[in-house]
Amino acid sequence: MLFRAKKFTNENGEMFFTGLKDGDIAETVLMPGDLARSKIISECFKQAHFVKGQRTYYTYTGVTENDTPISVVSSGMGPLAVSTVAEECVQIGCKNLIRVGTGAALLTDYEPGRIIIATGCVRGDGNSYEYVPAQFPAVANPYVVEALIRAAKEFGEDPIVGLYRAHDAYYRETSTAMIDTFDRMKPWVDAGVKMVENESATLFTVGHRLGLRCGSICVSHTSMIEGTDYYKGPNSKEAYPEAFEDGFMESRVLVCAKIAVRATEILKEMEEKGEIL
Amino acid sequence: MANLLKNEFDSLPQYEKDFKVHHLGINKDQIAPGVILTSNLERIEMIKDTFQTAEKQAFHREYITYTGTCNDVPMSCMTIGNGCMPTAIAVEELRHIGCYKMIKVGTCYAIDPNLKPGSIYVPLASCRDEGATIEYLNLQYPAIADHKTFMAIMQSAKELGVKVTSGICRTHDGLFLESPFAHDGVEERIKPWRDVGVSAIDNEVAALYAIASILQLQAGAVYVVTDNLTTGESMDFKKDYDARMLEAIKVAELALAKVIKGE
Repeated sequence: MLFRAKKFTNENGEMFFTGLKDGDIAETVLMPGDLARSKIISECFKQAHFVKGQRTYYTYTGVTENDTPISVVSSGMGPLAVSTVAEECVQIGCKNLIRVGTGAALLTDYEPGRIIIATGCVRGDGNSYEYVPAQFPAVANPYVVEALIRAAKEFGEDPIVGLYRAHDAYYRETSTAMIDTFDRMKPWVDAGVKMVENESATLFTVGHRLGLRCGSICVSHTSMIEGTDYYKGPNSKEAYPEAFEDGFMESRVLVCAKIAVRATEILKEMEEKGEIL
Repeated sequence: MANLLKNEFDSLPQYEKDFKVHHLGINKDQIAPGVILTSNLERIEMIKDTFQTAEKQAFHREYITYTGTCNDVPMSCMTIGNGCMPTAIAVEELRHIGCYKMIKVGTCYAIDPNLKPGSIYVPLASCRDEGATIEYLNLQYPAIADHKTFMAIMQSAKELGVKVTSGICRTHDGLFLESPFAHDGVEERIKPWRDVGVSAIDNEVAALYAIASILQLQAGAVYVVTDNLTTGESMDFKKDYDARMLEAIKVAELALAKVIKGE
């Protein structure tokens, strides 16, 4: 049975929150959390045009290098915003929803700005529990994961592939949070979780129920478990001076976006070759 | 503050004579880098017969182990008995003796009405509706197949011309509550899972995936669907079972060879 909300539009036929209508977006939508990144990401598209910007949802549509249609819709931060983008975009033709953004790495030996692709996510959010029971796994679509890995390699990147943890209370799990942050994070670190962020658990579970193919590609500046001191230690300014120059993170997010754009083409090729089973 | 140098999931082996681990009854010289796992003790004969060479290493509790060669790479096959408890022990002790890659073959019940008995099913991930993995981490942690292993299984199925379906499974402990021979009320129990898009149910794969993932090992699974609990259909066991199981075994073995070779 198709799982769909009622199509909630205004008098112009625009979806209530995103302001988007049929034909506004491509089958593949990239989804940054930061509103400002929509425009930056749209600059990786050919023939990009601004579609709509209301609330936290800024939308641009264009095509990739080989003319595959593509859109970017910013979500804003957190699970509620992500589920709203998923619910509204699926109503107007979205099939693949790929998050492009930032998080905090949970790795020792993490090189600043190294790309991390999610295979699944620890469900520290609240939203996903309204869609699926607690036992249910938040898992990325394996073909989106594969397309992102292949695209990343084409760009000469060596991505880390593994689990994320998503949660709702940013200031409970950051390097500047309370003293017991590390104690609370340790089980996830020990279980091989690579990154903490705030969106992917919702994206993967809500996406599963809506029949969307979802994935996430993110970067981190430094690793949370290497400590908070930017001036000493393995991830410090001393060890990686280029990572502390202005615009470093934006340039890495842009690489993620370019990889996601190329992954869109690879996903289409995989579909045409019958590799998606 | 937590000690980041000590991993809390780093269990220590319980060695017996000749450094054999306590339950599996084998040591590191008796296991290959990768292993085909199966629940059914009788099915191990069928699996080891597909190997190029296979020598019996042990039959200890529910763990029967053969080690030899398959698809030109060193490979083992091993039974793990029924349910998550012996599965969890198998994954832990395989790690203790240096075996980090594993693919389970077995049977499951479909609950998606479109998943027909006789289909070959690859669980991408599984709902952790069992007890064993809760002792490791709370339910927030997902039980997901290793990405490379999953892709190797799908690629191998394509190469062998075997049609496979993948989906999200659910692992539970009460076999006699959700099976073709279960107590009354099966439909009420499976409906909530079918409604959220779970396609099949089994008794081991969540433990295999979650514990392998926690211990940072590589695990996958290939299943034959024997019955559909929603439609009440069953496969023709006499006519089809061996042939379908053999296909599942071949897919798993080719995939495991790819994973061992790092392809």
